[in-house]
Amino acid sequence: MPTQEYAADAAGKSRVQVYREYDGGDLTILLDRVIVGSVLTEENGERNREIPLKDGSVLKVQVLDDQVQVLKDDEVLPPVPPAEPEKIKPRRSETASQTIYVLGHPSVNTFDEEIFEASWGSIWGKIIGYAVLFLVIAAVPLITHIISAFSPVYLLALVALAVIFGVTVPAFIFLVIGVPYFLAKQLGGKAKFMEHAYLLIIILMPLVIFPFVVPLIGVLYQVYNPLNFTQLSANLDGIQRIFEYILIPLSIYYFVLAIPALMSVHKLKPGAAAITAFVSLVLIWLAVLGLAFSGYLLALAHFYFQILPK
Amino acid sequence: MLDTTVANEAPDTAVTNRPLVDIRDLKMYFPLTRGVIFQRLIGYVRAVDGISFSIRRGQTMGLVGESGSGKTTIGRTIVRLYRPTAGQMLFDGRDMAKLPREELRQLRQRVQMIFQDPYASLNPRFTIGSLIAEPMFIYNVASRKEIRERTAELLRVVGLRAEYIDRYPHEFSGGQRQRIAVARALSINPEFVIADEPVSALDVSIRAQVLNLMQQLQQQFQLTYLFISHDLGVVRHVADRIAVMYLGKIVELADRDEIYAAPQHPYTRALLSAVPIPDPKVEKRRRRIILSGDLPSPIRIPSGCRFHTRCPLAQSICREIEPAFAPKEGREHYAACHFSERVAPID
Repeated sequence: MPTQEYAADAAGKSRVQVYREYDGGDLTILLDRVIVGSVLTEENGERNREIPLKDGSVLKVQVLDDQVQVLKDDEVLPPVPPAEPEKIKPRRSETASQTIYVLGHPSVNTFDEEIFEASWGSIWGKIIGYAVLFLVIAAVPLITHIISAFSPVYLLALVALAVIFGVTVPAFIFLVIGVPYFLAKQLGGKAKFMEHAYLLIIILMPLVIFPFVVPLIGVLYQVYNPLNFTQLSANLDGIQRIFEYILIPLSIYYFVLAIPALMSVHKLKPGAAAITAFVSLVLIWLAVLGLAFSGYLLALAHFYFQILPK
Repeated sequence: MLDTTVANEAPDTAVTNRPLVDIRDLKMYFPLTRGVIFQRLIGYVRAVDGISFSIRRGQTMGLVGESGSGKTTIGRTIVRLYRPTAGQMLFDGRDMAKLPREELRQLRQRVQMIFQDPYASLNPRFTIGSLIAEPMFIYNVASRKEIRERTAELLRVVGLRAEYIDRYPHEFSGGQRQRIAVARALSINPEFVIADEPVSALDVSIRAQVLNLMQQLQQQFQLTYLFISHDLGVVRHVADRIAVMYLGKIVELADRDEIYAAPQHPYTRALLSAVPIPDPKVEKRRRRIILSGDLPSPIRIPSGCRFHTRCPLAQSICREIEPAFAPKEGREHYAACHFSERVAPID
């Protein structure tokens, strides 16, 4: 390293830098990155130099056996490693931990801070991401069929699914977010739709996706096990039970999160925020039941796809 | 911290001497991410990288630099259109970087911004009366009738006829549109105005009109300006102090006359050499400094002095050690260059 640093004070805030382009070359002396002098070892054969500083102290730099020693008022300064560049802590919105943090800290302060990250780009990014995720969840059985026994029917069904989810997921999101927005406005809410949508998407979508991911295990089980219609009904009963056990606690938690979110974004009182959150929850239930019904129809279609080629 | 005021040397003496705007080690990094749902951070665009300056009440600070140097980002960060990555932005003693939303909304009433392009900053679907009145409605400053009267008054202040109040932006020239933008910025009596290249999109013939108007309004309403421009000639006309930016950092800061007479940074020197002089004889014998290459990427900032890749005075030490932004010979003239004494004065 051509630069060596020395602590010029006890705290190590002030530093002397000694720069040498190559071994045996001239030394350039800097105090806090300002050049204060040089030792011309190559040109003049200098071995040391005293440099008076503005605060009245004297900096002495000497070369002993080609080793550099720095003294300030006759006290040897200890060499220190170069200062590390300050590390920037990524914002929560820049990491996956944003979702975890927000879900784990249901308070008005959390949402007050999050609101500054709101943007349409971020909202659409999340909506598209979730639409793709839903599509993947729903399409796993079809994809396995395409891999095992290709048929244009499956491919067509996959395209149809993509179109359906491309439309239904954004529609679902805007419905369960839009209606509470207008209700909040009626109750004296002050938010812009973009801010409102951003906060509700943060808390809503992971909670909605979770109960769909868990039954996927059941769906995969079906795919790899030949079934008849009676077994399918029995399996769907099991899935329904998982929905019930997961959906009720998640709904309660959504309610706990939505109240401070609405209080933060709309400046609503707790009562008005609770009413809006409740309406929002009812809508989510209706929409989730609709999606579950669609899932049921898909399972039926899957059943017929299995028997049709025969 | 850089300070041009007496107040910070004796902070408890007089609040009136305190700078109106005090920016301390401001950083604005834009994240570069990959992925949609589970985004991962792959780096930062360091648009503003540790900026410090202060502006006294009634003063104009000029901020100059080439495109991509971070001038506009500073303006937008100060009004909190962006959330700063680090640093303090004290406005009248209160840190705008940390204010809660409602308090920030109230404080924003005192800070307004004039944008570069009056063709883009005025919504063509609204009349100019609605555009000027909009901030007054947002802050609910008066009744509908009073707002209309004040809008007409503001039109007169910026040199337009009050009868134009119901016309649309497309019925005006560029200079007139910028006057409307100025009227809009002044509508809620701000104390601090950030003018982001307010005359860059205008013809040379009408630039002077808008600049003179801004100066006249500054005296009339005791306004404080942050005047952002890439044109040192324009900044010389309006600014009391000038900060020169390069790749997200201020490389030189000094009083206007000082910076023009004796620049201490080779980048400032190069910029000044490009300002045309309206005297063919002087212009002919004057030595121009042409910088080679483009501004480096703010994602991968060069080590050491960030200007060393284009600097005509660069030495090997410049590649290794970033020069401190230090005062030169005890004056209120700061520059970040190891070899500022070698920068030639202006011819």
